[in-house]
Amino acid sequence: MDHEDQITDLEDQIRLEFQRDNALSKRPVFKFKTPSDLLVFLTRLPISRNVELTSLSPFLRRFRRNANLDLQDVSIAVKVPASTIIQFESADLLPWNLPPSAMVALAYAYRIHIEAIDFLTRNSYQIARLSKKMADPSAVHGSMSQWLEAVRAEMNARGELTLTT
Amino acid sequence: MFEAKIDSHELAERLRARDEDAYEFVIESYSRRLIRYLTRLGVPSDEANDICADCMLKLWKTSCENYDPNLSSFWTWLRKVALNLVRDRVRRNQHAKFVALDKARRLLDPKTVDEKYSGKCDWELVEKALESLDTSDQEVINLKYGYGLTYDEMSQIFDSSPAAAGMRVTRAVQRLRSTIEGLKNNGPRGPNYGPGRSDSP
Repeated sequence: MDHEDQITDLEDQIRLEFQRDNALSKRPVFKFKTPSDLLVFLTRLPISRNVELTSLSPFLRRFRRNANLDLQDVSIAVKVPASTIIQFESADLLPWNLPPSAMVALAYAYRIHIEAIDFLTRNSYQIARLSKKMADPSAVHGSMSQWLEAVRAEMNARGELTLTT
Repeated sequence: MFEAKIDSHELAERLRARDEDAYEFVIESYSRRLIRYLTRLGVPSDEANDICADCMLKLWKTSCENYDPNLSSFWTWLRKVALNLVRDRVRRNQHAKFVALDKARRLLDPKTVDEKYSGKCDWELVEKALESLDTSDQEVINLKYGYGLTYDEMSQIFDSSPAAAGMRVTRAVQRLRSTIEGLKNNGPRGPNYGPGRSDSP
């Protein structure tokens, strides 16, 4: 089977998967009586420590979408403005330009380990660097490292040991 | 800066050498084309953008070691890499635990309990037996069979080893079985009925 045949085969498989996926997409959004109910639901999820090869914004967006959670509900529950969550989920704005405290609130709710945040953030940096989105990569690298340190420090300060050790 | 037209063998060589200009060339030359291709295939546009970025990240991390210019053009090979990512992504989404969680929430309604279990059984009896277990056993059974967590994941919740989590499941299931048998034979026996408990007959 040559590459073109393999591509045709993959395209067929993907169309089939989309048909199955469409049925799942029709699920109603999870609704919770109170924001704390939502937090309880989320905090019972397993911790994400080893995550797939991607960057931070797609990871956060896919997480919320897969969990079928409403943006406003998450915003109220984690006490982070919806606009900030959207910025985190958008690849247009690099994560280290956003408040570390908001990242910590999301990490706590979504159960994202600091190692995963580190990995995903560095991937965001790598993609931005290769896309020539930054004028001074070494300065940006410094900002990113400081931001990661701030996130780690705040997680430690909040006593989130399960997410930092 | 990279030349507009480059021989695929040279491109492969420079990608393997992690030449950043070569990666910039690939991103500039192929990203939009790849996103268009994926959206035509039915991938939502935001997901197509993410898959494209993930694809470029994969090329960088693997140094394009699998690309053989003798076998195909770079574009053909890139499409194959992207399609594999799309397929894996869609499957991962489908099997995400949240699907299980969603089902688990609906399973709290005994009328829909047969969605989870197969075979002939009195589901009302199972529900009744579950209710009569102590809360820690109920939680263990819900996490394992309702939420579909692995022992590894459960061990994080219980702050124990996966083997210990497995043992808790085994014991909880044993108690559930015994309680069901007890209910079948003798009617409700109240809470804590089952092996290893002080109120055994």
